Formats: sequence, structure tokens, C-alpha cells
Amino acid sequence: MIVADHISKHFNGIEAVSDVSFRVGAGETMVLLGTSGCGKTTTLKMLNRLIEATSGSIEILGRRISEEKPEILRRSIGYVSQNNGLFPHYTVSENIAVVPKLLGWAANDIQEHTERLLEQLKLPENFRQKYPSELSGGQQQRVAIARALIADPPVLLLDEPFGALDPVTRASVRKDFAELPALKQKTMVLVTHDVQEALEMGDHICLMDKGRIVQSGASADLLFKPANDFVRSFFDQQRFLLELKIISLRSIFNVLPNSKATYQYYLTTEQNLWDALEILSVRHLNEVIIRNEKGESRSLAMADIQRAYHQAKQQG
Amino acid sequence: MDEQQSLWAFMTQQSGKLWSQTVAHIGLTCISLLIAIAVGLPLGIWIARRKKAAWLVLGVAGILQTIPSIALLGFMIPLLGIGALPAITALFLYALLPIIRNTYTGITNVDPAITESARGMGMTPWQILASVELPLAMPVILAGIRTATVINVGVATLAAYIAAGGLGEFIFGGIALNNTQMILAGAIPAALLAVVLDFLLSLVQKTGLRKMRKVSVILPVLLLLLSSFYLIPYTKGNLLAGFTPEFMGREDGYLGLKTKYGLDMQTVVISDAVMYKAAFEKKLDVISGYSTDGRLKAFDLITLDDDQSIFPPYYAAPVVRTAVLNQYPELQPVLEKLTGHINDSVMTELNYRVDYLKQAPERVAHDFLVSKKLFQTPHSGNKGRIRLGSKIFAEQYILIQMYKELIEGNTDLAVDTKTGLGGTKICFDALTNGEIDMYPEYTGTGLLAILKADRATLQSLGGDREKVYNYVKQEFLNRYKLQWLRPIGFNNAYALMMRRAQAQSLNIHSITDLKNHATNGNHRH
Repeated sequence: MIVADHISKHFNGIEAVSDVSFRVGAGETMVLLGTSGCGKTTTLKMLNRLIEATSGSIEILGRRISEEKPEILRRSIGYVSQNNGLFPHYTVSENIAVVPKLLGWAANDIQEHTERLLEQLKLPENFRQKYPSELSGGQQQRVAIARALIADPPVLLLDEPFGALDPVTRASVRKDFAELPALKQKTMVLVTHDVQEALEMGDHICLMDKGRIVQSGASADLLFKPANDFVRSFFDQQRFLLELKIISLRSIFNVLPNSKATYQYYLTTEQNLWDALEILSVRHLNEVIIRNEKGESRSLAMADIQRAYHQAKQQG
Repeated sequence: MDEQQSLWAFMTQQSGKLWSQTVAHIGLTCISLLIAIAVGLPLGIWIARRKKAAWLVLGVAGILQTIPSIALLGFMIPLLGIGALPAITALFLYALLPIIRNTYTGITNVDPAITESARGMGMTPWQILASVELPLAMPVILAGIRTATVINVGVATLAAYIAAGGLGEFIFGGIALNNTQMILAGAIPAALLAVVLDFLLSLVQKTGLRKMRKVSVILPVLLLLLSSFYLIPYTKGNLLAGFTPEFMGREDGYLGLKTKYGLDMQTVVISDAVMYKAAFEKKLDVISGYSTDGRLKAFDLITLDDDQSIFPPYYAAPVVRTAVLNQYPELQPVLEKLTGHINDSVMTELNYRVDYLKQAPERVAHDFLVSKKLFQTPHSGNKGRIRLGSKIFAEQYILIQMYKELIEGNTDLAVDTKTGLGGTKICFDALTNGEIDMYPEYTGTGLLAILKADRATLQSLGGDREKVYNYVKQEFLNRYKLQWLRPIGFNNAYALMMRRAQAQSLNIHSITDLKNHATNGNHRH
């Protein structure tokens, strides 16, 4: 879907990105993770030619982007930036209609899509005639997301889309974003410096430093099989939390004992060890029931969590 | 012309003129503003894209801004002549800097996150400019246009100096005639105009970001509408007259030409400084000059005969304190030696040598005395000192130098000269206060500026050379104990002038001839 092949970017002889390669499959989400100045945003912007690569080639949907007209290319790629970039002199609905108008949609088509997206993003109907300055930061970011999604682009580029929000707002916007039906089947590249966000949203993570990819792979690989000290120390601060979070209940479901209890609190196999630990400690339970899609139940006690965690560490 | 009416009376009486000047003023301001926007806006946009060119463009526009406005108009004359074109060009140059600078600032201050997201969505550079950058920069750009408007309303008053009309005609006429009502009749509407235009633009500015797209349509239309007020203030074909603001407002000037001669021709107002050259370059056909001005000769102009004598005589004569004449009786015959030697054309020639050929007044005076065999080698100069004063123009410098040599050559008196004593008032005060002993004065100036003769007196004198001379001589003696000696012989009065060749081909010799020609010309159309 997206293939970056040995791309580099020099600004006046200074190398901002050097020799970066990656591949994002259709429907996958790839995260570019790293500290500020590591070249992750530059890498992202090369994908829609906001920044032209100095060398290397990029293919999106099987076509080399350097051979396309930048404006036409960008209209087929959704783009959300950290500072929402909403036009202050446009209403919410005018802001959302920018790309459809560029694509020449009919007015009632635009209106229909706008209404549906605003509803999905939990923005009230009467917001359509408001101006960005009348909205809160979280609402503005929702509008920015709606604007990027309205034309249903197959590819979405997100540059720290929740970065400017406070932690509570960030969590709720991110949750509603993740639940959007329009997001299914989208190929996404997300730039973030937030490790939790990266693990939660990324199928695949590229950790960058000084313009290079230090390690790329699934989140478990980065946590449990760090390629070097940089990768290890990058996650050290929240390591325990992160590690619990990436071990899903599904992965240990089969080794857990059957449960007959029905009164206990339920978790699903979609959730992870951290969620289970939280329930157990907050509600002072001895065990918690886990249900899978087939309706089978298993019970999980504190000792199971410990065992699963150590096993994962050893395997890493 | 003496009695000062109330301002309101003046404005109602001159309402026709006031209206046409106001309209011309609005037109001048708006046309130049429109052109400045048409040029400044794209230029500002361009340098916002190319920061390297910005300092150069802003620097040049800044330098233009620092040129004094009257000097800029002066530069325009050799290039573009007189009238609307140079005036609009000069105003345009003044309006340029605020518009370029604010456009540049406005666009470079648009949040880069917004333009980047516009690019990211696939808007073309033109779409970004039109729908994002310009609307967002519009408040700043409008602030620049407001500044330019106020500047232009002010500078447009100077257009009156180069025959482009506007409220400056009243302002400068009023200053020249010392007529406060006339100054105010020009200055108050000009100030109101600045306030009103600024207010209108502030309303446009306050419509808010949201309606900026509409503003960018309304504003040019509004300006275009206001610009269309300005009709080029003269037509082709007929003779065109250019008169100084002072001449336009004087009974012994344009007003008299209209009432006494019934002269009816196209006129424009123009500064004395550029008038002669404009006549020479055929931008004007008739001008109001001074009959002994050196430029008369330089540009080959002739004066028309004032056959109904509406211009009071301005015969030059030495004015001396009576006490000095009593103390040194030998002085009077010496000071009267010039009499009969200098007529209008001789004085014109002498002025021409000083003003145009840049010869020293001392040299011109000396050569003249030698050629007339009036020069004598100086005596000892030990009997006493005589202090001579002069006003600040060439003719007076020359005369003073002649008097100096005459006194030194014919008496035992020594001479101090105090040249360049400014205008009439300074010379006259210096004389009455005993700081100088003598200066050359003109009968008309004595009559009008010093004695301030009333209308009845003026009518009884009727512009007659002898009567005026006798009247001022008598009054000066009675009131100030000052003696008018015999006039030198030339008359430096107002005169209508034309190019020699044109006057001859049209067979115009007098103002009456001119009037007849102008009237017939009008009938033909």
C-alpha cells in the first residue's frame, strides 16, 4: 500500500532523514515514533509531498508519488496535523467541505457526508455553522479529523493528531477516533512521541532517532526484543505498564482454567493484562472472568497475570 | 478682497468651486489608491514568497516615501509635465509603501499550520492565496490601505501646485492671500475627507474575518466608483490658462479678469515655480506671471497688454527714512540716478542673467552701471554709513548692489547691505524701526500689503500709475515718515503671458484680444 524505499531528506546539507525504508500494508496502521527532531514528521510529510524527498522513492497504491501532481496526490490522502490547521474564517461545515469542493462534489453529497461524520465524531448538529474559535481544543481536533476523512481517502496521514490536547481530552478523542467506522480499511501512518499511543494504535512501529529508523516491528518486538540500548531505554520509564498492555488476554486464554462463576466482573479477550490487573486491584477481587467471542469463560487470578508476564519476558 | 466674510458665507458663495475641488480631491485620492492597490498588492504577495526580494522592494518603497512630497511633484514635471498624470503618479508612489508592507506582513503572519493544512488537502498555490492567505491577511492589508488613504488625502492638496485641482487650490490660495476663510474652506473639507474615508475603511475592516471574501470585491468597486468622480479638469482644443492660487483669488487677478474683461476660459491652478516652464512646454497657453521675471526671457514668453488696467501698477522705487534724507541731502539725487534707465525688458534681462545664467547679482549690477556710464570709482566713505535692505529675490539683490555702487561712487558715505530680509513685512518693519535706512519697494505692494487700501480707495485710484504713486507717497510720509523717491521706471506687476509664437500666430496682443479669441473659440464648440 505504502512503500518507502531508501528515502532521505537534506535541508541545506543537514540530513534530517537518512535512508529510511518501510512498508505499510493495506488497512494497517504504522506508527513513526521518536523524540522531537528525530525526523518522524519530515518522513510523514514526504509521503504527501509537503516535503520533497532528496533521494529514494515512495509508492502509494502502487504508484510512484513523484510522478503525480502534488495537489492531485494530496486530495486522495487524508492529512491531520497537530495544530488542527482549521481555517479560522470558515465555518465547521465549510472547513469540512474543502476537499469535496476541490473534488467537485455536489452540495447535497457534501452535506450528507458532513452530517454523518459529525454524528460519528459526537459533534452536535448545531456546530456546523460555528467557527473554529468557538470550539474547544478537542472539538476542533474532531473537526480536523472529519475534514481529513470526509472524502473517504484510502490513506490517512496523522501528524501528532492528539498532541495538543490535554490527557483527558486526548483519551476521549482518541477513543472516538479509533471507533470510527470510516477508519476500518484505512491505511494509516501516525506520527507520535507518545509511547502508549503508539502501542495502542500501531500494528507496526518504526522507532526513529537522528533521522534513521532504529528498530521497526510489532510493539512486542520493540519491548521484548530491543535491538540496542537506545530502544531499551526509550521504553524504560513506563516499561512495566507497556509490557502488561501489549500482552492480550486472548494470547493466554487457552491456558487459563475454566470458570463456572457468573457473578464476577467480565473482561473480553480484546483486553490486556493491564486491564485485568486494574480491575483486580481497584475492585479488590481474587479473580476476574474473561469471555471470548464464542461465549466461553475462563477465570484469571493475580497469579495467572504474574505467570503470563514472566513467560512473555522469557520468550523475549 | 479685504473684508473677511464668515467661513460659512465664503463656503456657500464658493460652493460650486468647493464642490468641484472636493470631487477632484476624492478622485485624485481614489484613482491613485486604486492603482497603488493594483500594484502594491501583487508586489506584497510576491515578496512574501521571495523573502530575498523583500528588503529591496520595501527599501525602494521606503526611500520613495521619504522624498518630500513637493520635491516628488517637482521631479514629476520634467517627466510627465503638469496636470493629473504627474499628480496621480506622485500620489501612487506615496500610497505604495504602506500597501506593500502591510500585504507582506499580513501574508507572512498567516499561521503556517493553516497554509500547510491547506496544502496538505490538495489546494493549489492560487487557491491557497485566494481562499486562505488573502482573507486572513485582509485586516492587516486594509490597515495599510487606510494609512495610504490618509496620506493621500493630505498629499493630494499639493496637486494644486501642478494644475491637477483639489482642495489645495483654496488652501494655497488662502495662504498666498492671507485669507483665513479660504484656507479653512480648503483645509476643513480635506480633513473631513480623511476622517470620513478612514472611517468608511474602518467599517470595512470591522466586518470581520468571515466576510473578508466579500470585502475583497466591494473595496475595489467602491474605489472605482469614487475614482470616476475625477474628470480630467481640462478639455483639448481651446486655450488653457494656468494661474497661481493667489492670482485665482484676487480682485486684481482672475476675479478682475472675469468681471472687467469678461474673460471666460478654461483655467487650472498651478504653482508659480512650474508655471513658466509649463507654458514653454505647451502644457499651458496663458499664465499669470510677474512682468519682469527672468523666465519670461528664458522661455520666450510675452506679456499681454492690460488695456483695461485691472492689474495695479507695481513700480519700483527706493523708500527711504526721512531722517536719513535730511541728514545726508546728497543722497536723494544719487538714489534717483537709476530713474529712466531700467524699463520692464531691461529688468527682465537682468533678472534672467541672475536667475537663469546664474551670474552673481554684484557682477550683473556692476556691468549694467558701467554700460550706462553710471559707474564711478568709490570715494573715501568716511562721512557716515548707509544701511540698505532688500527682499529675498534676485531683482532686489541687483537693485541694492546698484545703489551701493552709486552711493559709494558719488558720495563720501559708506554702505552696508542687508540682503535677503524675507518678505515685505520684514523689510518694512526693519525700515520703520531704523534697522535699515532704505529698501526698494513696489507701489502696488505699498498700496495693498502695507497701507491695505480699502475698496473705495482702490476704485478711486483705478490702477493709474501716477495716482497710485502719489497716494502711497503721501500716505507713507504721513503715517510712517518714509519717503518714496522717484520710481526707477519698470513695472513688476501681474501680467498675463503667452508663448511669443502662439500669441503672434493668433494675433493676440492684449487681454481684450485674448478674451475675444476665447469667446469665439467657445462659440465654435
